[in-house]
Formats: sequence, C-alpha cells, structure tokens
Amino acid sequence: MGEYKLLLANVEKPDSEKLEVYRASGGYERLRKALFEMKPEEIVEEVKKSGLRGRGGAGFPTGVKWGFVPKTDEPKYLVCNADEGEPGTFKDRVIIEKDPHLLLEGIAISAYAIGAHEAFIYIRGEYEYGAQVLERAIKEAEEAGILGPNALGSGYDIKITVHRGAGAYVCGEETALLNSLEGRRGHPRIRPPFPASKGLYQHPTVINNVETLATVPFIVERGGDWYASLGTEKSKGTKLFSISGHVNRPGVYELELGTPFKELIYDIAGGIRDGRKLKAVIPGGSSTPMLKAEEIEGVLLDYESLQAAGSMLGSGAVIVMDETTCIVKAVYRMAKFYAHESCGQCTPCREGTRWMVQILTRIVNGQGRMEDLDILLDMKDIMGGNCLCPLGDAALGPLISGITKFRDEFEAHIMTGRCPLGG
Amino acid sequence: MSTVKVTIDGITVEVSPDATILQAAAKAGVDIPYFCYHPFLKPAGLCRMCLVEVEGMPKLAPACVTQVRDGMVVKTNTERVKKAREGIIEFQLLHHPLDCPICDQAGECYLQDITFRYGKATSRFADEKELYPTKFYGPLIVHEQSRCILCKRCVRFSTEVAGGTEWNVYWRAAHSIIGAYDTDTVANYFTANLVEICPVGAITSRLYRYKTRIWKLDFTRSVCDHCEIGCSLDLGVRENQLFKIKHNIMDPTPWLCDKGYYAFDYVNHAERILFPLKRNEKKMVSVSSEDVSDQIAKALEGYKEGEVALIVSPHIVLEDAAAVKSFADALKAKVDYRVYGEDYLPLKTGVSDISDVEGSKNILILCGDVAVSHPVLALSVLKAKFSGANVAVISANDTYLGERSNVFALVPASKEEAIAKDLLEGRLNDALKQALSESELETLRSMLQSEDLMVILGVRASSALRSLAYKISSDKGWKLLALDRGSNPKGLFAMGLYSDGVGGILKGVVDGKVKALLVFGVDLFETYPDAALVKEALSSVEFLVVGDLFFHETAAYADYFLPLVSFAEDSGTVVNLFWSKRRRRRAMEPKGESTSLRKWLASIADRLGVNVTTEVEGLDLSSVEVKLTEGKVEQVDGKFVAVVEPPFYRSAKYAGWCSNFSEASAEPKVVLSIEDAKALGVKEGDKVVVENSRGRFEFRVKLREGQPASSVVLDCGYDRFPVNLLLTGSWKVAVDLKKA
Ligand SMILES: Cc1cc2nc3c(=O)[nH]c(=O)nc-3n(C[C@H](O)[C@H](O)[C@H](O)COP(=O)(O)O)c2cc1C
Ligand code: SF4
Ligand code: SF4
Ligand code: SF4
Ligand code: FES
Repeated sequence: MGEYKLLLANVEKPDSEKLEVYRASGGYERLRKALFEMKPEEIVEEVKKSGLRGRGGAGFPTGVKWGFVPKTDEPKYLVCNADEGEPGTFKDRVIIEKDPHLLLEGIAISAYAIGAHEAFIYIRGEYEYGAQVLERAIKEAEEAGILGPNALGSGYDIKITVHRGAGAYVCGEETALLNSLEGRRGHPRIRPPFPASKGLYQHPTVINNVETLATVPFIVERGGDWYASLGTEKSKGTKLFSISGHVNRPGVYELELGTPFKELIYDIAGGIRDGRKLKAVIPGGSSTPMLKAEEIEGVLLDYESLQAAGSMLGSGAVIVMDETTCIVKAVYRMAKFYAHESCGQCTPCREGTRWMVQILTRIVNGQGRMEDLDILLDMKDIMGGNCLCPLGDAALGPLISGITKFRDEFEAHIMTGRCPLGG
Repeated sequence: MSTVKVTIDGITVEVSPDATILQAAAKAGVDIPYFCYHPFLKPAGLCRMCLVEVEGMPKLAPACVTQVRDGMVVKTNTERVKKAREGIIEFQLLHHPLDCPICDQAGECYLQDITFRYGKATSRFADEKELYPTKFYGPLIVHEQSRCILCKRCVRFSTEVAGGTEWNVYWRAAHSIIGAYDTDTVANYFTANLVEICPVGAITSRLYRYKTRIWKLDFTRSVCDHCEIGCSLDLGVRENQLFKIKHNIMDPTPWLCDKGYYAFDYVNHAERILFPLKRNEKKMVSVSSEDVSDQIAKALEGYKEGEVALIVSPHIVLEDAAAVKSFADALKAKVDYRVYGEDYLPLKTGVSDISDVEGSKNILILCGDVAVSHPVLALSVLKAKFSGANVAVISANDTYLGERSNVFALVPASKEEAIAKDLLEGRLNDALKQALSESELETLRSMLQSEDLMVILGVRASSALRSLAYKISSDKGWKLLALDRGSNPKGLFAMGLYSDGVGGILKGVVDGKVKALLVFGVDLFETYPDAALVKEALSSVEFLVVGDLFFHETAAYADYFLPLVSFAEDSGTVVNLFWSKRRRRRAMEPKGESTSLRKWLASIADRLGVNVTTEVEGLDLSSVEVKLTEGKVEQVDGKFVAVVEPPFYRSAKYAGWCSNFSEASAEPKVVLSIEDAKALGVKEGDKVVVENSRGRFEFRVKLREGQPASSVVLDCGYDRFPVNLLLTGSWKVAVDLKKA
C-alpha cells in the first residue's frame, strides 16, 4: 500500500514551519471555513462521521469525546497532549517541529467545535526546540490576526498557550496532565468525573493527542466521509508510525490503517539490519504486549487486527527486536522505566513496579529462582485492572507478554545464571 | 429523598443515590477493608484495599469511590476479591519494617488488623527491604517513612481541611516521601490530626512515644479544658497517669487541635502540689486537710462584709462555680472570673452550633487570632471557605486564618478597634484601605452588603466593640459570635460570677477595701495584663489563699495553698461557645490530697457555719440575658504599639508544665514589619530590646509580610519572662524598640 502523506504532506518542504509556507498550500483556510461556514455542532458531526480515533494510545473516537462536552455557558478548555512520553513514540515531534501551523489550525478548529476560547499545548520538557517552534508559530499567527482575539475577523477568540512539562511520563496521562497544568503534582485523578465534565480548573475539557488534532483540518476541508474512505472498515484514516530498533530505516512514516505489518518492517523501514532475523516486535509503544516474529504474519496495522493478534495499536510506536536481543534484559529495562515513572499514588502500581524490578534485577544478575516467574505472572492478577490509572496496566504489557512468549529464555537465565545470548 | 437498592453479598439495603459502595456496605453490615478512605476527607481511591466485584463491571471497583446504582449487585467474598486483597496486603508489607513490637500504633493499626483478617500468613518476598529515614519534626510529631503506606490521609487533611501546602508528598513512585520539605519543625496547631488520621505508625506523637501500649489504657470520654469549643476527648489512663488523648467521635467536629491533644501532661507533672501548704515565715510547710480548712475558716471569720473577694479561673466547672457563688454570697464577697482583664461579658447570640459557622456564606473576623484562641473553630471557618464562602480577617495579629482567607488585613495595633468599629458601621477607613488590595476591598464591600454575614469577634474585642456589634447585627440580621477566653466563661457568666472585674478587685485590695483574697486556678501574674498591679495587690493583701495545681508566682504570696484537681480527675459541667452544656468526666483518681474547688469551699464553709451548693441542674441557659457593657473603643498611641499575646504553643492552660507542647514555641519573639526592621537595623533572628517605663525585655525578631509599620506583636506566656510588666490593664501598650 505504501506511504500515504496527509499529515506529513508539508514536512519536507523548506521552511515548512513558517506561516507563509503553510499558507501557500491553503493553510488556515480550513479554520476560515470552520469559523465562517460551519456551526460547532457541524464540525463535531463531521469528526464523528470521519471515524477518527484518538492517536494518543487509547483510540477513543474523537467525535464522541467532543460530544460529551456539556452545552453550558461555563468556560471550556481544549488541551493538546504533546507529552509524547511513551518509549518508542516520536511521531508527534515531527508535526510539532515541521508543521506547527497544521497543529495550531487543528487546535483552533477543535476549540471552536467544543466552544473553548482557551487551548493549551502541554509539551514534554525535553522538546525544548519544539516548544520554541510552537511559540514562534503562535506569535506569527497572532500577529497575522489568525489566532488570538477575533480570530480571522470571525468574532471568535482563540488563545493558545504552550506549557512545558517537567519530565514525568505519567503527565501524559490526561488527568495527571491536567493537575500538572494547574501547577499541582502530576498525579492522575480518579474518574469519574471525566475531564469532559470536570477537567482543567474543574471545567469541561477535551484532551487530544497532537496527531488527532492535526487531522481535524483535513476532515473539515474534505469532509468526514472522505476521511472515512481511507483505512479499513473499522479503522479509518491514516496513522503515523514511529518505527525504531533493529531496522535499516527507522523513522516516522504515515500509512493508511490496515497496511500489512510486514510491509512496514520489511519494505518501508528497509528490513532488519545486517540481514538478521526478526525476533519480536512491540507494535504500539512500550505498554503494548510484544509479538513474536511469527505472530505478525498476516497481521494488518489497524486497531482490530492488532487486538486480534493479542496486542494493541497504541500510539503506533513500533519497536523492532532482532534475534540478538535478550528479551529478559528488554523486559527488565522496560520494567525499570515504569518503576521510575509510576507516580506512586496507588499501591498496586507503586509496589508492583518496584518489586518487578527487584526480581528482574536478580534474574538478570543470575540469581533468579523459578518461583520468581510465578510471582511475576501473578502481578497480572494483583495489578491488572486494579490500578488508579492505566500506567499500572501498561507496566504489565511487556512483562507478561515477555515471560509467556519467551519463558524458555527466562528459565535459561535462572537455571544457568547467565544470558544464553551471551549478553 | 429518593433512595436506591443495592445488594452486597446477598444483603439488600436502601441508600441515597450518591452513596458509595463502601457506605452501602457499612449499612449492610459487610466489612470492606480500607486504608486511604476516611469519612471526613474526600475519597481518593489510592490504596486499592477496598476493591470489590460489581456485577456487569469488567474490573474490580474501588468501593470507596464507586457510586452505587439502583439494582447494583456487589460481591466482596469472591475468589477474585480475595486474591486482590491478599495481593494489596502483600504489596503493602513488602518493604514494611514489621516493627510492631516497638511501634506505638500497634494495637490500633489498620495494617496490622487488616493483615490479620484478610492477609496471607506468609510472604513471597525474597528481596531486600528498602528502608527510609525517620524524621523528627520538632517536639510534636515524628514521621517514619518506612512504615508509611502512602495513603495520603495526612496530606489530604493538611490540604483539604487545614488549607496548608507544606505537608505533602515529595519525589515519586516507590520512593515517594511524605513530609514537610526542607523544614525541621512542624507545629501548625493541628498536627494532632496527622497522628490520629494516620492508619499506621508512620506519624506518631513524640509525647506518647514509647510510653505505654494502647491496650493498657482505659479510656474515659470527657471534654477538653483549653477553650470554649469543648471538643470531646477520650482520656487514656494507666495506673492513674494520663498518657494519651484520642478523639474518636465527631463532636463537635472530626478534628482536634494541638492544645487538646498534647497539652495534658501537666496532669502527671512531678511539680504538682498534692498536699495543702501554709506559710511559716518565708517557708511553706505542709498542713493536714482538716487543719487547713479550720485555719482558713478562722481567718476569714475576722473579715467584714466586702472585705473578702474571690478570683477564679474561667476554666472551672459549673459545680465549682455554684459553690463559689454561694460561698461568696454567704460572705458577701465580690467574685470575678475575668482574669485576662476583660471589661466585657459573654454575649448570648443566635449562633447555636458550629454547623452555623460551616454553613455561612460570608464570615468577617475581627480583633483576634481565632486559630490560637479557638483553634477548631478556625477549621470550621475554613470548611465554609472551601465550600465557597468569603472569609475576611481584619486583625492586629493573625497567624493562621488570615493567609488562608479571601480578605486579610493585618492592621496597626493602635487602630485595630477603630478600624473594626468603622467597618461594622459600614465604613472602610483609610487605614484599612491601605492594608487591602482593590479586589479585597471589593469582596469586603460585597460581604457587608450581604444578609448572610457572620461576624466573629475575637478575644481582644473590647466591650464597646461588642456592644456595637451586637446592636448592628440585630439591626442588619447578621449572625454574631463573640469569643471569650477560658473554657467555661459563658457558664460562669450565667452563674453570675462577675462583679467589677478582676482589675476592680485588685484595685480594691490596693485601696485597702479588700483585705482577704482567695484565688483559684490561676496565676494572675501570667494572665492579668498589669503585673505591677498584681504584685502590689498581692504584696499588700492581708490574707491570701491560693488554690491550684502548681506553686506558681501568685502562690508565692499565699498564706495558704490548696491543691486542686485537674480536669482529668474531676467531673463537671461546662458551657461551650454555643451555650450548650457539656459534661467532663473523671478519668482518674485525684492525686495525693488534691481535691475539687467545691470540696475545699464546702469544707471551709462548714466550719464557718454556712452552706454551699453544687447544684447546677437549675441553671437555665435559655433564659440568660444579654448584658451589654459600656466602654470606650480602645485607642493606644505611641511610637510603637504592641499587642501582647501568647503564641499558640504557650496559649494552653498550664502550658509551662506541658513539656513537648511548650517546646514547640521555645523562645519569645517580637513580630516586626520589614520596614521597622530596616529602620532598627535588625533582621530575622536578631535580638531586639522592647521597653517602656515599666520594664525591659529582649525578644528574637520575626519578620512578617504585611505587618504594618510601628505595630508589633510580643509573645507572652514564658516562664520567668513576665512581659505583663509592660502592661497597664490592656493587652495593647506603647513601647520603644532598639537593637539589642
Ligand atoms: C501513562 C500514560 C501516558 C500517556 N502519555 C500520553 C502521551 O504522551 N501523549 C498522548 O497523546 N497521550 C498519552 N496518553 C493517553 C492520554 O491519557 C489520553 O488518552 C490522550 O491524550 C487522549 O487523546 P486522544 O484521544 O487524541 O488519543 C497516556 C496515557 C497514559 C495512561
Ligand atoms: S497506576 Fe501508577 S501512575 Fe497510575 S495512579 Fe497508580 S501509581 Fe500512579
Ligand atoms: S504518613 Fe500515615 S497518613 Fe500519611 S501517607 Fe503515610 S501512612 Fe498515610
Ligand atoms: S479547639 Fe479548643 S476544645 Fe478543641 S481541642 Fe482545641 S483547645 Fe480543646
Ligand atoms: S479505601 Fe478505597 S482505594 Fe483506599
């Protein structure tokens, strides 16, 4: 099927981040159309029709989410989630750095659609350059009268503010993000209430991923039906994939949903480096269960196919591991990440992630015991579904899939006291 | 109200539609274990101990935060729930030190109890336990992170109830630390609640540390004797020693202050005088209880009508007050309880419960530091604020509520009363305007316009201000709450234990009219704002009887000393701030030959052939009438005008004999404006001399933002530091300051 450049259509143009370049290819005309020709409800309707699902990882239908915002007079907020913290994910960055106005246009249209006059971009602290690009772009657009009070002369005010995070993965979780934005500790909130009714400062708030929001201008321009014609029956449109690991051409590629998994790895990303064999792949960011090489046979890159294969599309972060990879070490490394990033609020995640690391450290160091594997697998019952936010479950993704699918490798570490791959 | 039906483990109950599963289970009598849930904090859903199975829900649901639905079917006895519970307990114990044998919480620890009931007997943990530092936050509390289960109850109390930010979570994940960052002492008036609310032994009281075990204590429910809120207290006694205070019921609020919680060890203090004493030249010698009554009676017989007077503490119970009153009447003696030099009497107003405060929309606080004089009331004011009320604090000294309020003005001590008077009359004068921002003024104006306004007059407010506030509130339909010092002032007023003030009695002594004085339960040198007058009176009085727990400076002038019992050793009735009677109950036997004031008086009266009564049943509080006293709005002028007040940790009764409590305020300070400090060439922590023609004292400088220039606050209440020498009947006085 090959690449399909919708979101990435501009990124390779010289000075693509500049307003004039963006405008030259019809930039901000979709905002004009939205503000002057469409009612907010009509935009929500088109987005519903498009079948667009959130690209931040959970895949929730975007139009439906917007529909939850109450039609009251109280202030409403739109928040763009640019925290991009999931290991393996680096797709939002391309849009932020190379096509910031596309994102701003998407944010402005979406804000109008939900009745918000204020929008925030919560960007991960490490994206310092990205934050600068966005700030410059906002300034340009405001000076040109596109954003700010009376946007494009429509009488509608849209203020967009960039807020830099301070380096916690959990702040990508939407309610932790809201707390952080309010200046509180980045601890996830208990739901209900959901952000759509009580979000930022206890007012209705919509939180969407960068990629989700950047898609909105195309839906406004060409209609929901057109967008829905891309992709598969149930997974509509295009999706950015950030592929990393042992492939020849790692990078960010835009594909129609439903593209064969193997086409991405072997064709678009140039195959496994040094002619080695594929061992396992994590399809949607470190939280999604890993698949063995044989398990991706015939699997398409879309929500349903990956679920049927026992994993998830997630944020589209494909991590490729070749035959030289020690799965025990890979699992250990990811467990360390979650133990470090757990906010520590709830018992199962806080203690479970720490204990995982303690046990895995022993196994990696050749001091594992067979019963350790039972304890690790038991985490599924103690942590799984029992945590306050999805981070706890996320930590189980690599652990449980790693042990069930590569149990022999774990047992070899335990029995021989060292890595069978010599690592 | 409509209800919904919920079935829990087969038991169907009807509950309100906004109940949680946990509340419904309580009604059904089904136990669901929990750590982080607390009935008076917002549910947080953190510990996941309360997970239950709900039909139709794919995941287990935390019962403490999951709202019921009609027809909901909940199961707590399934294999899945059992496994989750065992897992959570196992997780909680992984790094727990299991030092129950030396933990003060053992015996009343949620972790212990829940582990016994729902946990597995063995642990699969084979790795190293991580230990964390123990931090002593000054003399009151200690936090042991290793025992902490990170339920955040303490943090939630501190932020949601006490409105603070300091006590919080630091760092992240399994290395989260609870505590106060970069602070060595936590003494914020309400640490008691941190200890009480912590479900495990992570926050414990340093006063109770390693003293005894909870199951060895017998508890008696009584009432706090430190202020007129009269919080319910459970007094824990072992071998006739008072070891611990607990607060197990919401009466009147779920919370306690540090006075009620820590300021009780005076009861056990080794310096208590447990036998009667009489003067033998310069020495006091012991005398039998029989003889002492005889001798005092004999001495009193020699005095004529009007030559005897009694001064009593505003903390005595009504039964004692009845005895005092009948004794005084029989001897035609004057009596008064206003030992702090008050010229006012308690005002009976329509505010009849603390919930009236919590439900107010606008609260205006004048002339007092409510969190120091009536601590738990401050939390109720904050509760109103957190539900959307406007709170304004206009005061010459405030250490707590002001910075948590919508409108806060620290006003010059010299002008405090005038500002309050103008404000009550609807004028925002220039001095007040100077202290407030435009938006604060706006809020204050709107508050004065509102019909739903409660005015709280602090203990410094003079009689003139009280009378004015009473009249204006009646006109405008405002609610009024007038605070008094002591724990039973309203009761003593209702019993008629007042004449022309303690000052009047002392002057009577100096003038030679009063020749015999009986002083009970109070060291006048500490309480009366004119130490020179006290000294003159006590040196010149012919006959002085002092009754108390300790041999304090007033006692040093006595001819006879009678040992009294503490509140823990006596039963009796007090009248609280809201004009309701409260019962104190005896929790232990009187120590030595100490006995109640009424018994001493009865025994003396007996010998005088008069009768005293202890009858208080007939006291009808509903018929108490308001007695407005006249007086002038107070105005003090000078280069510097000082307000003299005890800091919180010196403001409890017998604070000087409460070791940990008083240590939290180790040294007297003077609060200065930044401007004055600059002019004097001093900075925070430097020493400053404060003097006037009557005395000279050295204080440590404490700078306060917003403190008006030329206005200072001086700490009092320290041993051998009689700041009252500077005063002449009022707690405000002109002084001079210079660098020490
Ligand atoms: C631990 C955790 C981290 C997350 N990090 C991100 C992130 O970095 N970026 C993001 O867009 N969504 C992230 N999410 C998902 C968000 O919570 C939320 O679902 C998403 O921003 C919604 O936007 P969407 O509907 O457009 O996908 C994270 C979720 C969890 C549980
Ligand atoms: S699951 Fe982990 S990250 Fe989420 S609230 Fe619980 S401790 Fe925090
Ligand atoms: S100190 Fe106590 S109350 Fe505070 S979080 Fe730890 S266990 Fe909970
Ligand atoms: S508020 Fe008053 S009655 Fe209550 S504990 Fe404190 S001092 Fe005692
Ligand atoms: S009691 Fe419900 S999560 Fe703690």
